[in-house]
Amino acid sequence: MSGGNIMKHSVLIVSLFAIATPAMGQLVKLTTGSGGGERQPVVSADGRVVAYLAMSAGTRELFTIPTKGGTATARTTGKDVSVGYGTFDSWTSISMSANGRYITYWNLSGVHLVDTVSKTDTVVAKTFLIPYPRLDTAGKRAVWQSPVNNQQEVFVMDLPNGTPKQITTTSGAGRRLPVVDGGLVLFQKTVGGWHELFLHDVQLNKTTQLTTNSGPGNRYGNFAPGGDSIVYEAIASGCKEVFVHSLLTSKTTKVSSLGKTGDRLPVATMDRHLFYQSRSNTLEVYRADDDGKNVVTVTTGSSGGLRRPSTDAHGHVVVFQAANAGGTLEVWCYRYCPEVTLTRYGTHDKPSLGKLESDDYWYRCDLWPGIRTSLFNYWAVWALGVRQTSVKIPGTGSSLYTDPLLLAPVHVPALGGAYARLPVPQAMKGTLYYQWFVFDASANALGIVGSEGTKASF
Amino acid sequence: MHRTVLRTTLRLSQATVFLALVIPSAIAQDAPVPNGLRDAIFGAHKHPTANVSIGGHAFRGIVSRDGMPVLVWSRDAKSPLKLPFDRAAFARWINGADKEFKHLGFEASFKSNARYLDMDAWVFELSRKGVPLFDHWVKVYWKDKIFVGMLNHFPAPATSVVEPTDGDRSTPDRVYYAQADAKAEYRLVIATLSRRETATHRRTEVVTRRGAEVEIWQQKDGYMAPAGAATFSEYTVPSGTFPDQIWADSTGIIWFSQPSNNWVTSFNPKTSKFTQYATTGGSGPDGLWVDDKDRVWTGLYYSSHLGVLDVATKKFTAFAPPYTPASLAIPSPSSRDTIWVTDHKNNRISEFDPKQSTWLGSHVMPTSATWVVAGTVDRTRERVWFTGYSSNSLPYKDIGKPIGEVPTPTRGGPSFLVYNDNKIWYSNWLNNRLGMLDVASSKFTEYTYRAGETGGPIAITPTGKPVIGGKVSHIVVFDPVSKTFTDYAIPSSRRLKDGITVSPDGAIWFTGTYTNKIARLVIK
Repeated sequence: MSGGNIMKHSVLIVSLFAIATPAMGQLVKLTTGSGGGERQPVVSADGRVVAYLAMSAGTRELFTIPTKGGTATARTTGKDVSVGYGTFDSWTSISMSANGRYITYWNLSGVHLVDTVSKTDTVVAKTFLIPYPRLDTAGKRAVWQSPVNNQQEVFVMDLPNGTPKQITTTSGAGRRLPVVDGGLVLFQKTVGGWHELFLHDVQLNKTTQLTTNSGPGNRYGNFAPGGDSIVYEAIASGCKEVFVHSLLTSKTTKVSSLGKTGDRLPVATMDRHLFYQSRSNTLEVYRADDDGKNVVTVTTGSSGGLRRPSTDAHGHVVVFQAANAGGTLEVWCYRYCPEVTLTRYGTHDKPSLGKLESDDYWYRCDLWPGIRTSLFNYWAVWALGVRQTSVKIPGTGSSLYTDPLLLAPVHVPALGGAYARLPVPQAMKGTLYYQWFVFDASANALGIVGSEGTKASF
Repeated sequence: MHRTVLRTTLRLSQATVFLALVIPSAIAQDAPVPNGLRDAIFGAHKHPTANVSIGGHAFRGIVSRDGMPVLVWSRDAKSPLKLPFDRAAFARWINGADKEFKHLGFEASFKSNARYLDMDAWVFELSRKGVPLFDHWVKVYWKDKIFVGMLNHFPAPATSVVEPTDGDRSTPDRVYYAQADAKAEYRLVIATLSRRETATHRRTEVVTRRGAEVEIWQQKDGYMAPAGAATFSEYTVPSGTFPDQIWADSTGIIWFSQPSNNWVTSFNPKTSKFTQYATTGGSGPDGLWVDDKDRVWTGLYYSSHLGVLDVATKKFTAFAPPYTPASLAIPSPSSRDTIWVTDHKNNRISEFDPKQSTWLGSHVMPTSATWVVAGTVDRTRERVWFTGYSSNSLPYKDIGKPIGEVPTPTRGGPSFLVYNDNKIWYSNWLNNRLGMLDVASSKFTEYTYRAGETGGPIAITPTGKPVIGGKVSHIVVFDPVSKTFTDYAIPSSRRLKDGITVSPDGAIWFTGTYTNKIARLVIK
């Protein structure tokens, strides 16, 4: 669910904690001794795992490591993974599915798909000339570029066994740098000498130009998770600036006014946050709202070449590469809020109409526990405690799944769900338990319908 | 001192080999190229030299593959030549030695005076039967009225000259143009300079019977960047001399070669610390390139090896060349994780596989004495491109195919190059024009920057702006959108030679080779 849906549901929001915005985050160096060259880290959309490249026995290999830190796992051996390199190859060379299970890379054998669960590594295409393969969030579709008649063209393939389909022709000079989100493929193509962004609908086989007069250099365009917008860099006053283009409204917004040389390599969250790199003395990572406001510096005093920020769907973490004291580039993770695991327990009671559904979501570092119903104009209460219980409530089919320390009433004046807001600062630790109670006079003798319980581990 | 001795020895050796081929009777001793003329042509001190007699005077010099004197100086360093310090008299002397100059009846006449470093340079234009020769000249260098040397920029080898008609002679825009054939030999044909003006530019097209040969653009407005538009930071190299080629690794560390000291040297911009690394097993690290695994590759010019420093382990390894004699110079990448390295003097390019530590091949350039300088890669076509300084061409190599070659439309001495989006951008050592070959259309265009500068190394910014390091005192940035140059006057680390690069953060780094500095230029 996106921020837009919050408004649509017109719920009453309850602030439970005085801390409305997460405090300062925490910086963790995830790797050491990674050897020469770049790490090119990418974090999964769920924010739990980072894939990166490091040297091992003289060759470049693919590794993963939890964003919380811990032991790195080698995902390839002796593959000597290839990377883009040079002024016009700042694009990250690996990609990962939202849950971190699937990873793509390329080497001289072609484009590879790694399944970290079945521990397989499959060549899905034999192209190796800077293909820059990208996965969709589900890891079920891949795109890449490959030369056809001396021009890089875009190919899309359903994984693992589909047939690659060429979706562009005579694209002209330079790189396509495609990315995929479900049925949409975003890529750049030469128009009037500049690389402009195009959106291709795989289902409809229709391509639409999104940008114009973007100036020289690559656009490095990316989907925001959820696919409502794209983020890219284009020239303004001679420098590369960050732009956001809404796929819903077709409105383009210039986000940054940096006036600095160098690539921005922007990435977006689904919660209207952007991360990008810009030079202070060296390149640093910045975060901003997608309207350019509230710019904050994520890193200071870092060193190394490109930072290459990568973030999860909600901006809980941003991972990047920077040099450590020993001089090699290593993977760093800046965490704005702790990793949270939500575990359901118990069962939903039955309302008079339809059923209850838990509907928790994140917006930035705020957790929004929610309950969806088919009821109209009703009250609900969110109950939060620190202990898990299971006590039957007489006159209902419900149970009390926590000993409530806090009860927060929510009125839903129309159809829709009820939501509460739980800010989760980085320092938050421990376990909380919560559930919902919906007032539904027709449901049972007590007129209360209880939800399942949720255990939130921080 | 050591460097001087070493180079003198090598020069003698080179000269012996060359003279055996070209002028068997010459004696391989005499004066080296004067310091002031080291960069009058690319790598002047590395070219084979020969004894040359012109107009009754004895010169030492560098000659073209057909024996035309290119750069000459007094054969006896202790005894300056008594050439007339009089422009008209000097022109007469040149014209009286037409055969030795191989000028094919083209006559020199004084055109302008210029300064080159601390010398006066007389520029003589050349014309035949009233029709001027486009883009060629003779330059004579004087210091305190004493002859230093002479640069004879005339097409070589020239195989034929078309006779001008009366109409050609009476038409102001009619010129002689050096038209290259497939063998990199020249026909001197009649061309028309077709001129057009836009609000901002003058455009000159050189048109021959076979069509437009090249388009040359020159902006009307000034070149100088406004004050405060950029920031220079200069760093004196604390040990050794002659910082040469330069590159940034993935961690932002700057690397450059110091051939005079047999070092590759790193500079940490954060700490401003320099660290020198010995190039064991060889000497004279010349060209330098850092690969995507942060391995510093360098051509060990004087010991013939290809060297690599593994930054992580600080281990230096030198690989013997696949042929002898060899003078490996400038390394560059391929599309398949291999390294190409040029050999100016021995007219070769060679490919090295770092995984197997083996040479995959060595290829003689199709044109003799190409003086192949540097390489770049087109990763879509799997094609590596090079600059042919003396052949005035852009040689290229596709996998499994023989070397191809595209003659540049003017003879400016292509020296360094970058590739981006179907375009090869290259610097011309002998003039103030940035060259561009559109690979898709095979069309050449040249863009003129400030008079007095010449290129120079070249790099390109992430916004697609080629950057030329001027050999005099400017960093020159070209905007392909507006076709305009902006100059940045270098405070003190002037006289670039071979070294300029753009680091990942977009900053421009370059070597002030003769000022013993490296510098960073940050634009905005």
